[in-house]
Amino acid sequence: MPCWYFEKKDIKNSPSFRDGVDTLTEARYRREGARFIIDAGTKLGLRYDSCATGVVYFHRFYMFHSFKEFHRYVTAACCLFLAGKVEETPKKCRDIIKICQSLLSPSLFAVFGEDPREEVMTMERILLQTIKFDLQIEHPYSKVLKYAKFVQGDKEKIQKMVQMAWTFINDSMCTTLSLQWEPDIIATSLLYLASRLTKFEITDWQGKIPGTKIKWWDAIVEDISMELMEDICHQVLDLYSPENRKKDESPSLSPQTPSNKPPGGQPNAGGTPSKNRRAVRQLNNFSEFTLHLYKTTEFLKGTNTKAPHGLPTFSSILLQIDFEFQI
Amino acid sequence: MTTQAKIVEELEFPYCENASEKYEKLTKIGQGTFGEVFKARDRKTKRIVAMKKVLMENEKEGFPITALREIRILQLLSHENVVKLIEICRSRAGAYNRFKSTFYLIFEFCEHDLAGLLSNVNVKFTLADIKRVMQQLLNGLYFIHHNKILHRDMKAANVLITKNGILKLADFGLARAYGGMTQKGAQKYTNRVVTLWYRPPELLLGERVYGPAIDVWGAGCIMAEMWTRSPIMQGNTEQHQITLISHLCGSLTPDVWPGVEKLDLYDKLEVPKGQKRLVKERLKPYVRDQFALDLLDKMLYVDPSKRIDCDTSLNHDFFWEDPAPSDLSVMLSRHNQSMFEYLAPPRRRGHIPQQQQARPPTDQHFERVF
Repeated sequence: MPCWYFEKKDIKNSPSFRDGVDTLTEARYRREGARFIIDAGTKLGLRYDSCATGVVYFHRFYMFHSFKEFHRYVTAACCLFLAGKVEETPKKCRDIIKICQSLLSPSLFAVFGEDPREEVMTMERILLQTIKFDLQIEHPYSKVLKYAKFVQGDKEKIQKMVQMAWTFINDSMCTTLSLQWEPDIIATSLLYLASRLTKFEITDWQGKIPGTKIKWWDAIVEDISMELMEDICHQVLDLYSPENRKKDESPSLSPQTPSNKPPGGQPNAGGTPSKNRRAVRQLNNFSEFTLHLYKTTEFLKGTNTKAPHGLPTFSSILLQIDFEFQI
Repeated sequence: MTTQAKIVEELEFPYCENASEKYEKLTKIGQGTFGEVFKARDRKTKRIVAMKKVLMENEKEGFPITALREIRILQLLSHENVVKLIEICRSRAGAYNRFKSTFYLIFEFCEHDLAGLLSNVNVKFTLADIKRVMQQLLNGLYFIHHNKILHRDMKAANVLITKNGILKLADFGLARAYGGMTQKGAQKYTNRVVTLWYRPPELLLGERVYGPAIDVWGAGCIMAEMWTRSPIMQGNTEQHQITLISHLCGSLTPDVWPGVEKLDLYDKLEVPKGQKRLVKERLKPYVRDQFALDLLDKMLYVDPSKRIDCDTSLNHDFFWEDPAPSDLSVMLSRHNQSMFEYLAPPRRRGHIPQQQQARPPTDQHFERVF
């Protein structure tokens, strides 16, 4: 069984990197591919989990192939096609191609070749073999909803916090986090980030032993360190850095639509937290983290909310909250 | 030719081995929902496996969703009584197959299927043997239901048995997860599932919100077949099947099955009136054990909400009264030939393909029980 989790150094030394694609460009390709999947999926009326499954396939695929060898938009279309079938929300290949055509400029759509359908079909075989038919993917979304049920306190504040965590998970799809950590760890970390930003301190939860000193995240996942959580938060916050925002090409003109909201229904219960890879990662100390948060919010405050592609969900939420930072 | 097609030939896939390099095909042993099944041998380890070819020729939508379901579900389910998927292999893509590699699902090999065993008169099941078969079958079914999966194609041919007497549920080509909710309420599924002879009345009447009870009906039909040695209700059409069910289980009326009148096809099909329930009476000549008759009766309840579930079935006295379930390997050791429905004499061939209108078998003779 292949392990689908990688060290940061392995991700850096990817097939694309070895093929002469620099790290920043690869990161941009990954962002563009992921957003493209989410945009196209949303336009097709697919649920967040179908889109997210497609994105994880996409990230895994490029741990084995180079972006020079396979164009990101063809791969993205194919990942969405396969994810739709796996998640029992199948979309016709023809319809997916139509949406791709509407989202891409004619020159970019040209990468689909003369027979786009055939191109996606061929790609599907390559994709399936590359991801070793490991089709079942768990996502942080259902985890965050599960944890939210377990947190106790002001309902409205919890709701706000969960919505923000949800947005962070949406955006985390553009990073390689799904290649680094299990969904429960990502969910916990981004819930932590949301709790910091909404200034809702989680002090009470279901099953809490009175007088205990343990933190809420210790009650959710075993051995999760503050350093690890902050490292994960940094990786998401980096998306909002001015450098990253300028460089991305905008294949789609519409920003992420708010349809990617948490559903009202029951979150998927079940799933035991996995126990592997709990190593303490590279440390980022607390003040650095706070500074990062501060800079991000300051930056976002200073920009128009109708920023380029992909990010407005975050900035608009941030601006909704009366946000004060004390450092 | 696309640029990709050219690359495909040279690609290496560390996780998806070349089927013909790794395995040697021996004989064809069956026809699954979406492709042929072969017996094959691992060239290196000499392990015998079953290879199921994924038919893709007529697929407009790429890799078939049914095959994706089967793979996903089998990866999720690991149980002694569920067939084990070892890996997925491919054939090399090249000009000869228009750069379209074929995929094979590689399964652990089981020597027999239940339909093949039942069609061989030399294979004798004692009461204790039947208990062991049903116990394992319900155990496997309990496990998959517990994991929120419906098999949706229970029939004797999909029940495999190794020469060591271990039973494995197979062919998850129609299986799917259940219990999901959509914005509009409970998830609806197609009712065009389950081979006609094993199809429960709720599906025949058009129910689209169904659950594990559909598999229990099939298990009940299989259990009766352990004694009758032929499928107990061999309908030619949906209408005929409903008639046969009514003759055995009594009329499908709101009295015994509240809500049946609301099912889509209740008014469209002719549902026989005034029939008495005769499950025990008509099975008695074959099944002499009282406990077996009682369990059969409960598995063949027409109202799915009153039909017994796997857990309760496993606690039924049938399994706990003497004689105790046997070790099947003893009986099977008397037979040294593989028995599959596919290879059996035509008496039992010609089962109705899934999701197709059942056609009256014309050139075959069926031994009818009812």
